[in-house]
Amino acid sequence: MKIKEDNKLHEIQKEYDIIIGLEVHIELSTEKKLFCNCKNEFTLEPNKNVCPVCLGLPGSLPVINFQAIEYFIRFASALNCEIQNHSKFDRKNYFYPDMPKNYQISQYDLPLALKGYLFLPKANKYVYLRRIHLEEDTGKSIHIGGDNLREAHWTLLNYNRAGVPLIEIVTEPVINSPEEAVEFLYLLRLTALYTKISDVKMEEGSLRCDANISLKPKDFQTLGTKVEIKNINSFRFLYRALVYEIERQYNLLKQGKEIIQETRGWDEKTQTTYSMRSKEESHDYRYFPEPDLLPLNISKDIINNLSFKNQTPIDFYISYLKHNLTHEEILFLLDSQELNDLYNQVVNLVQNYAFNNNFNSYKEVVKFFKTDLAYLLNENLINIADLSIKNIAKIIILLVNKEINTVNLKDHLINLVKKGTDIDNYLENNNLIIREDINLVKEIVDKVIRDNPQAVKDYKEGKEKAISFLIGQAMKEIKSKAKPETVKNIILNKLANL
Amino acid sequence: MKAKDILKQLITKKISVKEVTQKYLENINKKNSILNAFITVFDEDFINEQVEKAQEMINKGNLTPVVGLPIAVKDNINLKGYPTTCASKILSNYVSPYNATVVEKLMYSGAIIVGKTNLDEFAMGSSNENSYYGVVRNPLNLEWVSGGSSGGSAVAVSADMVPLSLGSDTGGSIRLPAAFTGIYGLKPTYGMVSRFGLVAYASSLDQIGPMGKDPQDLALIMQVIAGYDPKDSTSYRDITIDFINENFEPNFELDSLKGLKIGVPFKIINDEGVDKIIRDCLNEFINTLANNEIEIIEIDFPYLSYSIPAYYIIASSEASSNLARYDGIRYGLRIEHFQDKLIEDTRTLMKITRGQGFGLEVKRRIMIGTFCLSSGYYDAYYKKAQQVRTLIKQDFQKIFNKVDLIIMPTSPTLPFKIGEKINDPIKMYLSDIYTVGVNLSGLPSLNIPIKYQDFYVGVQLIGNYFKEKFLLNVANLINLL
Repeated sequence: MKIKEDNKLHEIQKEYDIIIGLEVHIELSTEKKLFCNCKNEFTLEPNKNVCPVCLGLPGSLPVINFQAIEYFIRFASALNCEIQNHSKFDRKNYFYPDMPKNYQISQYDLPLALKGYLFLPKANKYVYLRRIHLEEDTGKSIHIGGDNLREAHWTLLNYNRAGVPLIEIVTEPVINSPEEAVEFLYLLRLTALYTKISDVKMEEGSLRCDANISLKPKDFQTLGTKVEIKNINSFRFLYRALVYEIERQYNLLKQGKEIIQETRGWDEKTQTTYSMRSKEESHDYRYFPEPDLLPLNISKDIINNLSFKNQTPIDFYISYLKHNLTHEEILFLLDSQELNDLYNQVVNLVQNYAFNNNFNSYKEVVKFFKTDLAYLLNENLINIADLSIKNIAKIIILLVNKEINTVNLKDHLINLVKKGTDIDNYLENNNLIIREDINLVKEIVDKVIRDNPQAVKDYKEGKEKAISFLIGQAMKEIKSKAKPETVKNIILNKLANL
Repeated sequence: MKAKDILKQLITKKISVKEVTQKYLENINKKNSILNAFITVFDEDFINEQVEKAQEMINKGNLTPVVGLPIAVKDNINLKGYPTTCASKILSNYVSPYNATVVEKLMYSGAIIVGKTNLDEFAMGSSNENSYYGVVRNPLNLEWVSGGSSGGSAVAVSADMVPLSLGSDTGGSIRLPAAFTGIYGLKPTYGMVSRFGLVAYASSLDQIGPMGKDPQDLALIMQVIAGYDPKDSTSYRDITIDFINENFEPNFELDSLKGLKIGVPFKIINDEGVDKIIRDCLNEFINTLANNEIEIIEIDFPYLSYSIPAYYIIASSEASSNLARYDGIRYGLRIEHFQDKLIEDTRTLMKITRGQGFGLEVKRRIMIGTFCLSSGYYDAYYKKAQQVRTLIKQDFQKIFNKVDLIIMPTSPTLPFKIGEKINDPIKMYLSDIYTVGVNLSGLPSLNIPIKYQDFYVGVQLIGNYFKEKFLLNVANLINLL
């Protein structure tokens, strides 16, 4: 998550507090939809996963899918929310063709979770949450011959997504920069992944974000007029849209103009926001309690049983900081839960195998992960599932103790780390373990010194680099019969006595 | 003929399913063009298929309380492969791809569903004059309205076109037409019968119920349609009532009315707004009860006068949302041209379709409901109405602490003439003054027809929650007085 800092923002922040609140939608990856038995799966064939209930056919009724409640509680508990024993569903009424009933079953005044927070380690602050609620997703419209319903010649409707469970997370307006917003969204996404409630793919729309932004003069008590930006579908766009909007509002304020309370969209093509509707044009959703569903009453015991009890990404982050990993190293690990799991297993094993060695096992393991292992994984040479934890731990210990021949290690790496390889045999058969034969080393060193008078001369004249050349020449023949460190010492010793 | 007697003859094979069905179909053929009770009468093939299945069940001794009985279903209840019009232009071409749970249960039990009956559009009305398919006439007097909104289902039974029918009751829509046509009509406890497949008018009030010519007939069909349905979250999970025993006779526990405590709101009965004939009939009826060692207790409903406004606010609010889906986009009517021009904008298409597809009364209620839910008005209307609803429920519960059941008129008036009230919605709404409180409270209530002079007067028995069998039991005993 590298984002270029914007200097103009620093200027703005001298005069104004940037106030950002986010509304994030995450689609739950339950087996079935929220109120019917249709499969909840991404499919290319339009209108395949539909039934009378999610199509809102006359006479159909919703029935809550309890798995969605389970997922919700797992996620909300990982975000330290107060999960409510009593909540209910409401109807949000507005007309739009991709919404089959022309109302959305959502939650209004009694959401399933209140409060909660997410700690941002980089920004070193808490982002407080206002609420999380459960609702049904709408279908999808594809406009042909225009950008929206009004302008299009045709609009194609696909209801596969209609009725998919969706949660909406609303933060308090406590985010103070685009960087913080991106860090929040990134960690929120990780939390969804680690609690296994969603695949959170922004490009497929299973994670969507709206942002509310206002600028408050430093010496003012009250917040400025807020503008809502919709349709943000990537981290990059979130950052850019926020920067653009902050600068737009700043310029207006500087010119003495008023900020209009409105909803704006982010246009990827022009990299600007545009007005979608003003406050006056905003919908009156006419919320009222959904009469087709009973209120949700969930006991403390059930909430407790369904709560997330494993480490959250933030828990990992904080423990890694304690082990002196850098922000970049931590994000590298956390970005994939599989990799992070593997990392923790390997660290455990390394500590077991080498319990009396005094090296930072966390650091050493992450070093191996970021270099050798990352190479194999990035090139898709092996899957994480096919890696042997034991083999990786052994290699790392050998590397730390410099007991493995690193010259041709890359060629053997994949065989070494994969499951099913008997690592001791493999190392032995391929001469990868260093067993020092000092007499042989001395012999070879003598020969190398004899054969390379120029290098010896260079060294004597103070060219330190020449030593590396000599070591290299010697290692070619020594192979696994000595550590480079040993060879270096012997060469230095010989040269000193010449 | 009563359903219980037909069932007996069918089971003892004195008569065949085909003969029974034939007889009723002949009546439908003869009478429907005048009475207009049916919107759809099913094709011969579909009916024959059901008849054969029912006969086979009987032959194999696979008996049920409704096997072989012709039944009509209100046309807001879905039956797979056939139109569900809700008597609205907007659904005039709509064919349901699935069965309502009640239909599924009836068909599984070998009932012969012969057709779909007329109603007020989307069940909104008290006279069955608000139908895209025309007014339903009252067989007792062709100039009278049938009552609504289940007018077709009431008339179908009253005129012997079927022995049993299903209606739906949101504010009195089963009981009022039952009263106007001189038959029995039961509005069960809310949640007793699955609403899955019933096209919603006001979801928190709607309830499917049976209509017939004898309380025992209603027990037969209730045995089949009542019970928990996992497809309807508002149906009761933990309540099962055995309406009949293994011999298909009502499982009535009471064999005498003696000692019963019956609550009577004399203020209501003797109100000037109640037709004199109804007042006299009810007073005489109550005297008869009192003479049979039944304890008559005067009761009072402090909040009942608020039930009409509360009902029309809640029902219209829910309706405004429930009917939003009819927009010409996915199914049903779509108006694509306006003033000879192709409509190019989707929102305009939706507006014109709704404008032309809904009738006046439906539009009126959508407007009322939309207004009541709008921001700034919600608290004053919808929320206040829900508070009143709670008070009305409490009224009933206080009364049921003292009495076993309540007796009051079903309607303040006798059947009125077609056209008489159609232009005066307030007067029309007052037809439901004694029925809507029951829906707001979710209680069961039964209309029983009392013959008085040349008229049938509809008397309403109201029981506490899940007391529908008790109501049928009492009605049966009243018959024997």
